[in-house]
Amino acid sequence: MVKGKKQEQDIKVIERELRKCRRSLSICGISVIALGLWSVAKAILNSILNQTVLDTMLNKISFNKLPLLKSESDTITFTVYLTSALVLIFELGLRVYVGLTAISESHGTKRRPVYIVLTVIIDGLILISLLPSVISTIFSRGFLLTKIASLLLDITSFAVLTELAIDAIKLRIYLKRFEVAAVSAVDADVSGQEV
Amino acid sequence: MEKDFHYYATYCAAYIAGFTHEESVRIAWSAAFVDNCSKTFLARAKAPLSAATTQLQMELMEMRTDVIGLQEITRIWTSFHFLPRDLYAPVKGAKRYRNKYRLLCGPNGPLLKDTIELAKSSGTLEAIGLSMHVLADTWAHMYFIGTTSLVFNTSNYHFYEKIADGNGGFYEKHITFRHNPGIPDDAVNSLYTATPFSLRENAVFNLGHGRLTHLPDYAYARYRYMPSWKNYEEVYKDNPEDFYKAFCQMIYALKYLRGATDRFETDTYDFEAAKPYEHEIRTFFEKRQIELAKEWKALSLKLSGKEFAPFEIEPAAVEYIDAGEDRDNTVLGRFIKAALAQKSMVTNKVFKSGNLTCGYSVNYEEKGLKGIKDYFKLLELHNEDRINQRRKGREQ
Repeated sequence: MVKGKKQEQDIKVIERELRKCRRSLSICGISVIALGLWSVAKAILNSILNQTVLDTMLNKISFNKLPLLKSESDTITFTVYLTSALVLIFELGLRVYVGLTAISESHGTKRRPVYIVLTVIIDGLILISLLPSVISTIFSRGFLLTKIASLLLDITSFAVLTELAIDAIKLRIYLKRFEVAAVSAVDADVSGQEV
Repeated sequence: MEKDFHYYATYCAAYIAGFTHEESVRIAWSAAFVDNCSKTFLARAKAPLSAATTQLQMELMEMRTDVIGLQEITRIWTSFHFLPRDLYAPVKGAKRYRNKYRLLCGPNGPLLKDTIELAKSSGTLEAIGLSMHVLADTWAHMYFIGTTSLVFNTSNYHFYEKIADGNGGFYEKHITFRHNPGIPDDAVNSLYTATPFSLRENAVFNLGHGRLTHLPDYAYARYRYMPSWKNYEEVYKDNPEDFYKAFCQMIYALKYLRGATDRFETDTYDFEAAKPYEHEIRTFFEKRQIELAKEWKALSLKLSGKEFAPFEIEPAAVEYIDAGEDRDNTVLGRFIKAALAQKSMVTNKVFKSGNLTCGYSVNYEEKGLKGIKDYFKLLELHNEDRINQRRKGREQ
């Protein structure tokens, strides 16, 4: 091969892969945020439309074998909602951070790999929660379609986060290869020989 | 290509190739007329509508985009403006994708040779002019297809124009296309108007290079972008270089069509003949101007010393209508015959490659069919030519 031609071709191949990774990372970042918003929406709709669950729980709780006073059940209800809200905000915040960082990295800004670690953690938690979801869907007595839809979205969320983590890692690998290829292309040019 | 190239540059190429001034004007007129021969014009001239070589915006707005409508659109644009480079290109994918991929326009394909040979066999200046339009457009419309396709004919955010900095170097500018048909393209500030985005694969907006405005036709444009069919690879288009090659290839083809050379081969250019004018032409191409009519006209005057009228289509229509029975021997009549022949040839080649994007194509003579009214005329004229040739052969 003509001197430097091989290096040029290598660089072109790496550039193509980099573009693919960046595009995929950008789309996954947007999807993670969108699915995070969906989780919040799902939780809010569940709590508004499914109040009987909390009421049933409260009816089963007793203090010193006596049923709860109204003020006590109100306090518990408030605490439950507050905790849920805080957890949801925290989860949404994590997803938005992961998504925005992925989008930013896809546009060329160098970011620390913290978000990749967080992606893997969230992914693991979704995977763990998938099993109960599957069981609940299989043995559900009602609202089967709703549960299937919810399960599918959870699976999508898992897939998107997995894809995001893989693309982020691939991007780093290709960037390193690009630096090496660029240096060897310059060396080939300077020395006039194929490196 | 813009009208300036089809009209004036074709004149210059024809004159350099050895045609007389009058012959060069007729060739240039036919080359430019391919962009004006619409059904609306033909209906006014009471000419066969199947000879249309272009479609006006209003005609396209009224076109149906069902299978039949799309095939009609594809027949016109593929035959005259987006000649496919390789109808048998190896490509993996579903049949629909494969068929469209094989319509990708590009220079120096087998169909170009067929187009030139067809013009040679017809022998008329109008056929020669038409073939020059097709040849020039294979360079300008590279990487697009002559049918509606969001996948093949659009670009995304990854679009950069390479602009000369005046010191021998270049800098890059990111381009975004706007949709503002009331405002002309601004070459100086790199503002270009595109057709509106439509998610439908077969929307008329996604025909040809509409999504990139007229940028592929501007001689000064150098740009790189990432078409979706290239799998994340970039495509770099260098119009100044490509248009110069198109000009030199036109000279080479015209010499063959005039009979000065024995054969026409693709990927061959007459750089020698264009050399005395190379510097001047390359200077035109570096000017950031939408139109280069003045510059080409000045070159044509320098070549022949004779001026000729600006491009007009009405006199041809008037001559055709006034000719009555003898209309086939008018300029428009001969152009119509050439257009019908070119359209038949390309449609047939596309069909024979197993691609139905241009619809079905029937060899009427083989099947013994009469054909539809317009193509019956083509058959009649073709049969007349064959009978005359046989007579000549017997006499000799």
